[in-house]
Amino acid sequence: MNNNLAIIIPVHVFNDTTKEHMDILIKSIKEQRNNEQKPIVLIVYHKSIDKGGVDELIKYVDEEYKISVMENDGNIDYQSQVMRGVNAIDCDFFTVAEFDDELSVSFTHQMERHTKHYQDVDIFLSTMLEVDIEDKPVKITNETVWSQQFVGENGSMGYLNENLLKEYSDFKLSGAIIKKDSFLEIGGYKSNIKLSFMYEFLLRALNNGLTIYSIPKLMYKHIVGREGSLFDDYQKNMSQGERKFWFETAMKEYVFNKDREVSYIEK
Amino acid sequence: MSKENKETQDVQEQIKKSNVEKIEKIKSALENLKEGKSKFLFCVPDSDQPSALLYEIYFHANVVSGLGYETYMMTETEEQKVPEFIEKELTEKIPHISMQKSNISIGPEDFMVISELHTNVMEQTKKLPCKRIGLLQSFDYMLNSVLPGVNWKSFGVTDVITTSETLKNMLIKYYGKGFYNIKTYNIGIPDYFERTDKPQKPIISLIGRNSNEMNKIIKLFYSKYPHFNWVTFDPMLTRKKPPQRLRRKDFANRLKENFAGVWIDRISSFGTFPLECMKTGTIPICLKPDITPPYIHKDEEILENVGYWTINIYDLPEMIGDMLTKFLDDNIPDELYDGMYEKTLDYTPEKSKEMLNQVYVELIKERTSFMEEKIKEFEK
Repeated sequence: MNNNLAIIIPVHVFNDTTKEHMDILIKSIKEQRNNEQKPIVLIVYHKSIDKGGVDELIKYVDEEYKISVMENDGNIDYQSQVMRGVNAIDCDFFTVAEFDDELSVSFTHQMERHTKHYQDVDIFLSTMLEVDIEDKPVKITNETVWSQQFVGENGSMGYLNENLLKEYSDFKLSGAIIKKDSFLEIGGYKSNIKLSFMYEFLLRALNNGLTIYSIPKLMYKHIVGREGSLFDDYQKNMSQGERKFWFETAMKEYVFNKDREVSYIEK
Repeated sequence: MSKENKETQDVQEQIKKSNVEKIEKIKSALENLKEGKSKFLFCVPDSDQPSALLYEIYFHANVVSGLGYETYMMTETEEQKVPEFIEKELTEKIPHISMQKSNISIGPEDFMVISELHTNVMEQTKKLPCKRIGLLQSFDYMLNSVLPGVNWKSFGVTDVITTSETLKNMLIKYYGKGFYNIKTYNIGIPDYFERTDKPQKPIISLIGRNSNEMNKIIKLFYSKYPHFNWVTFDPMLTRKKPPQRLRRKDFANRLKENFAGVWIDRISSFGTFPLECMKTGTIPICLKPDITPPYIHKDEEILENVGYWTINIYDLPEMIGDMLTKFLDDNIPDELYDGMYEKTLDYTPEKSKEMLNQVYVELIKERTSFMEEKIKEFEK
């Protein structure tokens, strides 16, 4: 392996908002406190983005900071974009950063510390600060594994266990540092699961015996409810019934490593 | 010779004989003392509750044993167990003998070290010919165990070993200069309290004397910071049921994993826990006790980078919140960790051992001079 970490940035649309946020994300990557071992950065854009948008994305290419772009000519969904990126990188670990999010200055430093000391861990969740569009803190996510009450008497603090995950599903994989081989071995993200695919992946990972640990540092800032985001679109246009369906699908499909055909039919 | 003169002569003869016997005894004791044949007896309170006090008694005994003296741990009863929280290297080498059934002969060349928890032993042993020394670590315990107007000197204890200049000055302030012959040394924090490179956890060790105060701090913290309700306070007990106190080595291993340690102990006279925190790179967040720990101040000034201290218990929840925010943001300054570590260099086991060696060598010298003086007095 040439690199220890790759940052994959999936982009399915490009406009002024994308650029505004993307500038912030790229800046946060360039300003890492630990700047000696730079991660590789791969922007994966969907083929549907017009030439103007692609030209703008190409402007981010930077040899010093190992930033490159690549096209995804497959599906437009988030999972397909990520899978395209993961299959293209040559790294031990990767993380997916949404273009409207931001890394803390110590992201790569913490990544190095934790991967060094917790070599048995396959997935490091980042403790995430969720903010609204005005940058006001809304909540902290992926922190629950640090609560003795949630982890339970038999669980280990810091580690996600199946009992906890079945009771509490609000874990996010954006900003998570994932062992590439482990990720691919269990089938990666499933593009057939439209919503709750991260939840399904976590259930599947635990079912396959992967170890998941949450780094107790606010390493990743995530904007919730941004107008025009893929998840905002789901929230607005997806019926309650469909959302429930995808959640239940995740609960059933996690036992299969293969991305099986699933579709929702509105009754 | 009249009957009266005969009686006077007899009394003088008896005094002379008695003095000769005394001189012989002292001479023999002095010889033993000079030849390093003194015995050192350390009285151990019957408690398996981890305490710095108990640990220090064993540490002293090992230092003295290392000087080549015959050393014994004097237990209260035959059934008294060796404290398990102390590492075996310190407890195994020294024989334990019950005070109830002891048949050790004790002479003027011998020494007995008695802590403030054993004021009753001070009283019971006041007729023994050996030199008895008070070991003072807690001013509070010392005062609790004597009646008003009574002090250690009332039981013939005039020599005191204590753990800080602050305690020495308090003894001088309240009992007067020269009332006790006081010697000080620094305690040593064992090297298994070590800083680890492994990332610490968002868990806060919580140590205190009053459980109501500790619960109050936890509740106020969660009320002020509901978004931190996932943060755990660790009472530093075993995870077995029922929870037990940790062995000191296990305590050290647990402590270094936690990013901060809260300490609430108003009556502490020294405060080992904050120092243990500093040595493991765990940030101490503390209520300053009535007696300011010697390692956090210089003259009247509170030092920087020795943890976070307050005189108001109601400051603690916010101090914990601030520190937790810094921890999560990975924003705790390196100077704090460096400062804490540097401070602990004054409290290494090596330094402590060196200082205690000096203390005991000095006590032996003083005892030697005392006996030589006594012999001179009698010979006159």
